[in-house]
Amino acid sequence: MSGLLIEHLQLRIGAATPLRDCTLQVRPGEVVGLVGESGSGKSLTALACLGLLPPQTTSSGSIRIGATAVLGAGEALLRGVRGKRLAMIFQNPLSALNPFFSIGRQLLDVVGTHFSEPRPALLARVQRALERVQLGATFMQRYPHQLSGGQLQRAMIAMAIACEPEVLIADEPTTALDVTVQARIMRLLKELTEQGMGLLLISHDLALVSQVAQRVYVMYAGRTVESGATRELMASASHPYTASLLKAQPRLGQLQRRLPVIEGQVLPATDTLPGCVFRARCRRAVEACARQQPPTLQLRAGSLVECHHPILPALQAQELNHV
Amino acid sequence: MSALMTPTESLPAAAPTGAARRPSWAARLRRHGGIASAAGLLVLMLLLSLAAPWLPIADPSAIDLAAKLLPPGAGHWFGTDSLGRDILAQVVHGARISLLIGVGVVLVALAIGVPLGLVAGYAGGRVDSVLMRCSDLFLAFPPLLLPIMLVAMMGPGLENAMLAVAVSWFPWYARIARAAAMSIKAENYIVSARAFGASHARIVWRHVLPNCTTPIIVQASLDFGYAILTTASLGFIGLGATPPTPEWGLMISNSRSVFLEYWWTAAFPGLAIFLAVMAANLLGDGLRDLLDPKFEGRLA
Amino acid sequence: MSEAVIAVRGLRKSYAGKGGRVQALRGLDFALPPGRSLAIVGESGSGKTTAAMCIAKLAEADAGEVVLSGSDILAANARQTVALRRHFGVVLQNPLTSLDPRVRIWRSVIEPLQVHEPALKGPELRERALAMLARVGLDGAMADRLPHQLSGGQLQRAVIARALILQPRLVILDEPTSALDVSVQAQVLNLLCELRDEFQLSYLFITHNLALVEILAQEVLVMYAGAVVERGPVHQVFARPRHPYTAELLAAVPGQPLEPRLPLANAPAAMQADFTAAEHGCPYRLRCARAQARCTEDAPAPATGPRAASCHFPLGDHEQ
Repeated sequence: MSGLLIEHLQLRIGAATPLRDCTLQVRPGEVVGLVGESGSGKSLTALACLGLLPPQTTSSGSIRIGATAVLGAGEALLRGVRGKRLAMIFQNPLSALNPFFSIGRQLLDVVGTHFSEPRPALLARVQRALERVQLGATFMQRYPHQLSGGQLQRAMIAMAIACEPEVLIADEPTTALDVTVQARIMRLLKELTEQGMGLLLISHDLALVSQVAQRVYVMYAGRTVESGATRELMASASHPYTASLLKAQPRLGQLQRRLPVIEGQVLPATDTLPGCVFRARCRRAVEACARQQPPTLQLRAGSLVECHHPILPALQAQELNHV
Repeated sequence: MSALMTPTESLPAAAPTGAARRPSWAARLRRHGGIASAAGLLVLMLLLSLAAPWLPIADPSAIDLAAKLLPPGAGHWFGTDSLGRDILAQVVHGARISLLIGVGVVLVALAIGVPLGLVAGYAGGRVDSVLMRCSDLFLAFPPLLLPIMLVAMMGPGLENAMLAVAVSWFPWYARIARAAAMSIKAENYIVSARAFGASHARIVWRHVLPNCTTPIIVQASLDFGYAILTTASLGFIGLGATPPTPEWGLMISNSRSVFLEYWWTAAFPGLAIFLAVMAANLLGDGLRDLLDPKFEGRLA
Repeated sequence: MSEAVIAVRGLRKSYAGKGGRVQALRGLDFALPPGRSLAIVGESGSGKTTAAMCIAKLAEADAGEVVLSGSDILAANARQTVALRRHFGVVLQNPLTSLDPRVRIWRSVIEPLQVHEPALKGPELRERALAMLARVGLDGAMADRLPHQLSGGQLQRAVIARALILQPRLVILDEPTSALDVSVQAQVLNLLCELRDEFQLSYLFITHNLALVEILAQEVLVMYAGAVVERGPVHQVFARPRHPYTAELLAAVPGQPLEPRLPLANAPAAMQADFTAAEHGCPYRLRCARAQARCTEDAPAPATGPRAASCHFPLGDHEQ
């Protein structure tokens, strides 16, 4: 079984449980989206995969890359995994690259850490990585401050794929970029997966994720509340939160005077009351929602939803208007 | 810290909790151990020094050659110096002077340097250049040399020594204030204030100044200690306090020739300086935390 | 009264750059009738934020007029400028830094009143603050808090409250929701719509997110490398863009299929290079898939008139 598998991941920091239950899978060559807003725990999930959590965090559940268990593993094992089997790119490329060194030097550092080959071989790897992200050889000598936002993000992607990881985690990779540059980076990321690399694309923007991902997981308050094939999810979401999120997103060409909003605020991480995490803001809440954790239902093949009162596929047309 | 530690979401501890009223000053003070003990120590020293005339201790200037250089013991807890004066009495009376020196020097340096730096940093351009070159003149001198020169010109005496030290120190505060003003100037809330028509004076007084207190306070608390040390050094070379003032530095100076055999003549004033300076440093750390609007009383 | 809320004529700004002077803004013109809102869209470096800063007199323009309430704010002296500032409010991008971190929310909100109506005293100021905060959906408990205790959406509401406290007719919004989550963005946009209708406001809305434009504005200006490349009513411009850059922006909006309707241009040079290109010919030619020799020789006519595009070879109906 290869790729990334996270099962029932839970993270606790002090009195807060920022991640209550996260389950997701990224198969080789697959693009998977992880959508959630601030406080949903999506970035923590990514950090947990790489063993980059703050020291006082207690965790349970499992994270596996291929057959290797990553959660709770020792530093030595994690060092072998980071960059080589599992890589990550971040939102702000300018702060992820060291301003003091040239791009080429930083790329060489990365490949040099994982491959003990002679320098010409390392250089060849670096050049290949740059080619794959469509940056010419001249970028080897350039420094971060000389590059534009899009070029920096490509450089960071190059660093991440230089060792040909099995899965790449991209945490809001285009939020800081202009919309046309964003489109190009998205296309680049999709092309990179055609050679067998899996991609976990984390974003708060469901529309963005829907452009490239085959499957999407939706997170709310530290739980993966819904998952499924992108097209189906976008057309007819089962979880009330997903449906609300879709409606709250402004879309081009749709005359909207008022956006349907989700009342209330995100559940704080310190909340320990029983029941569904979305109950306080859900218009479809029923009595069971306040008492019990909702069951995980499979309404369609390949899709899961945690809900007592999900929006059933047959009733989509009417229901979406009520939510 | 690289981007690795700055994910798009903040970790729960940093997320706005929408908490109820901030803990009161008293509550925050109680929870911060460092500042409480430091403040306590300084307050104790101050009280002792103010109460000095009424305390059951000897007269610090009472010379008794028969009792000179007595070790710490029954009648004289800190011993006596080479003129028979009780060291405990001198240390206690001297506390008032030293604390006054510390506060006075720092206040004067702040009063000159901070406005200068704020104006230079906020105004930028030529105003900045002119003001900074003026303050650079003072920075060009080695730290102790300028006060020595100034005191030599003005004549020895504690007030002159304090003024000389303050005047030679203000450039540091000017620099700190300038750097802070320059970075705050670009913040959105300053731009917004200009947008609704706030005058420059209002912006500097209400928005720039309060937000640049942190680095200034840290420097000021460190300097409180240095001020005491520097004035003590000046006293040591005869350019500061004049006898029979019981100033700690002067006491150490007076004990120069004998302290190798009679350790208490230098040890106790030295210990007093040490305690005062350490308390000042702790106080500075604590003040910086206390004044941070985000600090809610969690122990550092 | 059909006097425009704001009329901008010939606004220009340049600054010293690495290869000579960079024309950040080359002649911006528009007029906003009361109750109408205008969006200025473009990517970073297009000049839209420079335009907003110059219009609000927060940056110094090289030339041009910005007429508000009958007076040109750019030509006004210091005292007149302060008086004119009460006629517009400003909401900037990052709510986390738009309020003084040491000042309680209600005091930040009424600060404009302290500047323009110094006669008002404490209790009355507080009353006005609470009323305005309630109007933007923040309850009384928030009034006494400090900025770091509020979420991004709540902070932006407070900033909006401050922008409206003097009851201006115009609000300049520079990317007001870019830093907010989707659901929070929806709340803030709805609030802006309600306030616009209730107080008959005009918005000058700067954004790079085209999907938001239709919600808040009726007219749109598309900017590239400091020049207006297309203008017109929002629905017309978005449904049938005439300028290739407008089409490129539309195609890049997330949610649109990744394979755009037009062949995408060559990898775009950083927009900085286009500023020098714009000295002769069309600034967009380095990026344009349709560029021809003429585009290098002559600059296209500027986009003036109610529906116009600055292009030698604008997209015809059949190409969209």
